[in-house]
Amino acid sequence: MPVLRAAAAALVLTLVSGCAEGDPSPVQTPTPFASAPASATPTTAPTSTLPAGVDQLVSVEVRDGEIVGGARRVRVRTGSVVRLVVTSDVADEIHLHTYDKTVDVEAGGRSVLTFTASIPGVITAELESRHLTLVRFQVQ
Amino acid sequence: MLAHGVGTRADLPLPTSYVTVGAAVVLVASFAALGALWRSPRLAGDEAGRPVPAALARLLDSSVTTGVLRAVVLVLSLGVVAAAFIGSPLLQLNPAPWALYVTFWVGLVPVSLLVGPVWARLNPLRTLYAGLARVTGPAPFTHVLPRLGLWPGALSLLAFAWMELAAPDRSAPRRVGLFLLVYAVVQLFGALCFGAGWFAQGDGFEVWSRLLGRLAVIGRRADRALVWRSPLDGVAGAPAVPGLWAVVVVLVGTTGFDGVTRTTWWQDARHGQEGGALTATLAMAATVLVVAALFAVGAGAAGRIAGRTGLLDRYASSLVPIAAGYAVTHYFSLFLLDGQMTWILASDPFAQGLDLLGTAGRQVDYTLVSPRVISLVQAGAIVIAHLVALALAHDRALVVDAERGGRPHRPWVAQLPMLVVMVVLTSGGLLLLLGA
Repeated sequence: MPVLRAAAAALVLTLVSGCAEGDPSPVQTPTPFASAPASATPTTAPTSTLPAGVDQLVSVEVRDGEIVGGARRVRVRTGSVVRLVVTSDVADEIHLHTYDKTVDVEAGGRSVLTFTASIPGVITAELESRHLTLVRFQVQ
Repeated sequence: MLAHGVGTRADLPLPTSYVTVGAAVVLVASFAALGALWRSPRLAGDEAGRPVPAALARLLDSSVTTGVLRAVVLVLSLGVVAAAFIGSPLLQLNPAPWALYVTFWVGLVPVSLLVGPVWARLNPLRTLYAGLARVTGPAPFTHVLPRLGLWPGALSLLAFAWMELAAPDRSAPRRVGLFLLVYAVVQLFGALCFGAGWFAQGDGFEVWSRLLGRLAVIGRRADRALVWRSPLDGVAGAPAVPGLWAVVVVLVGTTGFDGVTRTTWWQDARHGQEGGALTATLAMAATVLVVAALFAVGAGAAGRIAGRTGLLDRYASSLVPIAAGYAVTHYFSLFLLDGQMTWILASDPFAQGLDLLGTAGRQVDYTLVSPRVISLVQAGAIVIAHLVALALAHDRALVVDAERGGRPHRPWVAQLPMLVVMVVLTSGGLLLLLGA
């Protein structure tokens, strides 16, 4: 039965290639690794405007104590340098969990938190006192 | 919002290939089991086992061993409660929440799986009750205890899960201390009413440790001898106590809910807002009810095929491996990574600048296990749990079918409903990991 054999071969190929890629599941707003982002994610700056030494720029705006566009999940390559820029109309502390980095932001201010994505996993950045999730970094 | 009580990082979504291969193994094994496994009941339950060497049995059963371990556990437990109340009010500086949610609750799983129902032996509440009982004398309502079954244990596990996963300020050290205090008072009151036997049925931690311990390769035979035995025999020997099914459903349901809160689907729905405790409570209750309904329908259908009713607790033990698999899958990385916090903070438990263990001020090493290892353990645990559950359910179906009398059904008819339940639970677990 050549048809069956072909189907079996296709299945095996799919499984093997799947294993080889380690193929992660889709993320809500996939951001390409360190390269030019898709036009659908306007808050991530194009590569050409990246500051020196920064691989990926992620901007979040807080208005009336809410995240504009909701908290996204952003894919980050392990080892890359990531800069989180938070513009906020409320004063609070920005806390990047697990990496345990904090920086204050003032009402109407803009704060920057830069880190090297050395710890894999899904890691949350919060407005600490409001328990408001700013963004989740999927470091892999 | 932080998922479980204290965790600060979450695992990466399980690679699609792992889920595909896992699901394929589950489905193929499930259908193969219908026809290929044994045709008449084979598991001997608590009759099975080969005695361990006499010297080992003497050591394990010696009252000195028990006394020393109990004293150590009692002191450590009191230390955790003390730290919760008088240590730092901040989670990042107080070992108590980490000790309870990670080291104890998650650590109970591997330890019980490896060496048996340790918490039944070490339970500090039993130690406290033994002291109390000298003053109060025998408990008045011991004769009622058998009728309560495991229902109080299911309730106390639900209470703990609510505290861990849904309660407001659940990781605040003082709240953790308050929970432990209330839990201990309620349990001791139960024991004062119903006697020391209460803990085996009413203390959720001991109930869970006893169930997991049945999967260990060492166990106690019906004649009380310590024996090496197959985990299958261990679980098959779990008596069908009233409420056993509720315990298993609560464990699978609450762990499943924890999985739901880690999915992008759930997190997107929250738009980054810290949800109220009410939302989390309702969602947790809904998850437990879904698992309960699934199990009740499956076991009900299996019972109808066998021409019997009231079999929920007889079928429940076959879900014990699935509950264990869920626990390992969800908490493996938490235990190894965030669990380091317990030892770091225990070095200065009361925030006085001490360094008792020489670990104060250290950072958690989040690279201790790689994402690949975590993924392998996650997929492996859930699939192996399914295979063990499959064999158990198969044997249980044969036992029930044989009891029915008359001409036996073909085996696959009797086990089909529970098979469907398990495939749904396992594939559901894999999907949660895929969407994490």
